[in-house]
Amino acid sequence: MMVRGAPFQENIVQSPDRPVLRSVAGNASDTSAAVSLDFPALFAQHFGYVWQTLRRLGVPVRDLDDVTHDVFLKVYHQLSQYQSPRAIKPWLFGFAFRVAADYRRLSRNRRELLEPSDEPQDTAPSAIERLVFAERLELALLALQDVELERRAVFILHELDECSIPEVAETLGINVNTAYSRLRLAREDFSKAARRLRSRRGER
Amino acid sequence: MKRSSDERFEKELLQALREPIRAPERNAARTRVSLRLQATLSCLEVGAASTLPLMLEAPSIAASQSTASVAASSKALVGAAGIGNTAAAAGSGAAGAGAAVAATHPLGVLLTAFALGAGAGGGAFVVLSGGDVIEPGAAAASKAPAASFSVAPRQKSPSLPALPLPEQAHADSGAASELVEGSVRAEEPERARTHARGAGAPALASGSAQLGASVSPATGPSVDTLTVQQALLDRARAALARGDGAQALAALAEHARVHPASTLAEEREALTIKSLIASGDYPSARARGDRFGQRYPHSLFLPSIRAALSKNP
Repeated sequence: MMVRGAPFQENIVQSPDRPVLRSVAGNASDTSAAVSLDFPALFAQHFGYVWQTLRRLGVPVRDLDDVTHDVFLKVYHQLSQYQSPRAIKPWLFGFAFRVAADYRRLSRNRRELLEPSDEPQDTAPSAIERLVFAERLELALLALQDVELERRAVFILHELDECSIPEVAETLGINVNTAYSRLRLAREDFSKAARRLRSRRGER
Repeated sequence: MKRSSDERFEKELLQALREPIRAPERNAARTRVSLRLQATLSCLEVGAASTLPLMLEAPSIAASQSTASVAASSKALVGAAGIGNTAAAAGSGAAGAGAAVAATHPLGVLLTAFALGAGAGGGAFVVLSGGDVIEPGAAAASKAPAASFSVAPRQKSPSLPALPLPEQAHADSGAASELVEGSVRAEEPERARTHARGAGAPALASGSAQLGASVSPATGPSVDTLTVQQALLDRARAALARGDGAQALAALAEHARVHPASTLAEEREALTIKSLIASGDYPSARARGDRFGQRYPHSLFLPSIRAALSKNP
């Protein structure tokens, strides 16, 4: 039916870190300039970001599929609300943050634990380097969970996603001063958590 | 001294957080979630095809071209198939919808695409891909009731001599596959093969030692069983779309029997309620609807279920 000679879709600009652009190029900035969003392509391209964001926000791996699913469902229904000059990642972050916060509110999920057994383990011998990295990531995620959620959102957007503070403020619907103050507190929390984790592990 | 090593440690942690997710992990998760999403959206949109065509139409397949040289020299696999145990249905109007994706890997090594056969309800819209970009190809099978596939002979990729294609899964009756130009990534050859056998969809995967060899076990149900489950639900959905409540209920009962505690249980239950309504069994539909509301108070299906129930006194 569709297989042979299926037309290649034109006009989809594809690059790793750019949102799904239909036809327009123009604006070279990281994540703006999308004119119309194509949901499947958006999903394909930004799945990783959403998944990673949810993990950073403290959703344990066992529920990541579910929560990611819910985020994209909401994105799907709000697709028409997307305004093209906005960067897409902060926009997606907004969904992820709200869904993650709802998720946390469920009492059964309050206990935030990123147990090692939660993480998919790759036991192949060739993966030793990755295991070292995975351990570090686990520690990093643990430290991140010590940052209170609202501060953490600012921290993730600014420190990890490299959004400017005004952009962070807009994404989270807070004013700029609040964003700065949360960032400062988040950094303190994170440093404290890192120091604690390190001393608990001992010098290695 | 202590302080500076503390800072270093903190920097390392931040760096770890900044690293993108490893591609195999991400892609496996993406496939799982896309299947569920597809199921959910199909359920939500049954009978009210307002936004769904956005996803199901456009039977096009595009290969990503992040690196032109790779794209030019690689192969894509596109398969289309009826779902295994329902393959016979292809003859009776329920066509298989194939969705396939081709993508290049940043390293330009080798990519796999596997074909997902989907039952009459529609095609799965995203499939495994190695690169950052997938161009989903999908087809709404219900729009093309009589599928005719052409089978291409098995081919080896001339550009990838060191990485021979594993045996092609046997295509069951009603299933067919085809190779087209594009790019192929071998991500999870074993899984792809299993998937192919399990679902009857011919999949062709190319093994890549360094990329495909060790894949983290995915959390949650495997893509294989989800695909099979999805097919069952698709059958129900298609029947429901035709207004055939009894047929839909049969497929749903089978799903409930084989996969009682499935992650798709919520979708199944929602479809069941709608099927009961379609077959005129309002009391049962109402009772199940109430239970559904208790069990899944935040379900996205609830509004449409309630609407359907309120329309039918």
